[in-house]
Amino acid sequence: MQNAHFQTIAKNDGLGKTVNEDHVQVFENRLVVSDGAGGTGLFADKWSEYLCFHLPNDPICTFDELCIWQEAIWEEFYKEYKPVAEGKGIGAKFLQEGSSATLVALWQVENQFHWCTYGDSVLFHFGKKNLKFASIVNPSQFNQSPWLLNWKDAPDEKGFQSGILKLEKGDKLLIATDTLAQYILISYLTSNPSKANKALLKELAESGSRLANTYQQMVVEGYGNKTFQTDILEPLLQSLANENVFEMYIQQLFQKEVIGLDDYSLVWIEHSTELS
Amino acid sequence: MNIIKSNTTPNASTNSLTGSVQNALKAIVKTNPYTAPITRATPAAFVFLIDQSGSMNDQIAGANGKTKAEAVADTVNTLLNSLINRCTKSEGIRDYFDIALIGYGAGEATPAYLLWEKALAGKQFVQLSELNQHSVAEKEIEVQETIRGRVQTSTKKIKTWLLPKAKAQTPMNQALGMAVLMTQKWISDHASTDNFPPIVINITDGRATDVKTNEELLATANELKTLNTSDGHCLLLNIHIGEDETQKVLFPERLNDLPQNEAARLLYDMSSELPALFHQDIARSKGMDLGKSYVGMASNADVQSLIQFLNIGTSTSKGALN
Repeated sequence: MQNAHFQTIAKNDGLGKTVNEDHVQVFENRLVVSDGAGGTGLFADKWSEYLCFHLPNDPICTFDELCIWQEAIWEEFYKEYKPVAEGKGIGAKFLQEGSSATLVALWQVENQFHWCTYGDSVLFHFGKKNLKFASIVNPSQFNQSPWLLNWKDAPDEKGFQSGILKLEKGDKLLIATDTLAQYILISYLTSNPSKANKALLKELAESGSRLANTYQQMVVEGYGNKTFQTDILEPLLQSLANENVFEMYIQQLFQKEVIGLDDYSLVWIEHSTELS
Repeated sequence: MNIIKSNTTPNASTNSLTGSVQNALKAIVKTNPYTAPITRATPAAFVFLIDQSGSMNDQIAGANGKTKAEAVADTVNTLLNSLINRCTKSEGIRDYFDIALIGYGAGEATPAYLLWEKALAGKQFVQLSELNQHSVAEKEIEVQETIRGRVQTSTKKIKTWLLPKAKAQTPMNQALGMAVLMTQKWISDHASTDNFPPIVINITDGRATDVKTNEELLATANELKTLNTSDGHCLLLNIHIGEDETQKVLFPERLNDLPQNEAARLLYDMSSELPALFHQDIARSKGMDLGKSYVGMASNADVQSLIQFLNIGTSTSKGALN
């Protein structure tokens, strides 16, 4: 897919980098981001990679199509990793919890982008000034357990979203895994304090969650006085130039406590010409 | 059984602190506490206080003849197996938790003592990877799971660290005093990082026999609850296990939720009010709307509520592990 820039990095918890459980894959007509959920099950990194590599050529537009795709691919993964887990003495955990990951996929079909999501990795569509669409708009939603694709269970329709986007000249599409998506969404709401946005932030602040801390720290860091496009989004997108720059930029945000500790993945697609 | 010095007078313990411990205790609690991520570099700690007095030989409600001591040992062992399982990744176990087990009663040379045995004997806090290597017993069980309509089988090791014991008096104040000392040391060792504060869980069926007044016990409990990391004050949770399951109360919202029972009311006063992090799990377990506050105690707990309480009391690990 042309004009797609991305980086994906593992977290560093102070004792060194852990395995990056995120995966990003860009194909000619499609791209996909998957965040392997390390909090449950095993081989989250392998499962997210497997999902990305097996993304179908044609868009997944309906929940039934998602189920058909999952039904077609799960068993190969299971058969490959069951003996690996048993060899490590953790076969029961593999069987009981499986492997879990989120998914955001995008297909370019002529002048349109077909998309689908499952879980809390987020697709954003920014216009020149405003956020036109986000697959998660309420930051408090991140406080709930995410929907996850797991080879051991059929997907749940409640976790699935899909749609079609048309980009205008200068529009940007962003895909981010959860912790970076939280940063993008909360910083956008904080720097654009409309009545509706303030209500979402109030709900978050009252949740007493870790994410409420992140929001409060953004307020301390003056995000309310920033211009989202120039002060927040542009520097973030510029950091996609290479992995080191991206890692340093994220590290700065982490030290300011405006982003949590996680693996981080970001994809940016910009259209300099109008598709019509 | 491993005995360590525990003859320190609990309420005088802070007088003998070293400078570094004093500094750690001065950590200022942040505005939005109990939000620190739990990582390998910033682990959390659980301290279990296990009543091993003679009355623990009585039967517990809802367990078909099992003694309280057996039910508590089973439940704690299950919880430890579950914590290890939760922190197991494909590359190995991540040490997100430090665990301490303190017993009291059982007619030992000192009233309160460390419970780790064999290779872990003498250790205060033990990491999960170490715990996994050194159980006192283990058995293999078959696990069946339905995978997309097909039953699959595998095997799983179930390990034991805590054996049931029941003898002598209930020197709870000495055990709390030992928890104060160990928790102070743990906080001091982690003073340079933002760690979720230690959670101390006391499981008992009786009243302390090593105090003359309730105030003595409350003073030691308060001493424990005033210890803090930058992420918040230590949490003290108390489970009173009983024989009468009709009177059980878990995570009361107010004192009036409890029966007119002095022992239960004392435990209520000793226990911490739980931070918001736990509220949703508690409301769900009660099948009620979200309350404004919950106290970390259980009165007259049967086996099921003991399991439920411990699962919720250690639920800081859910979704917060990095």
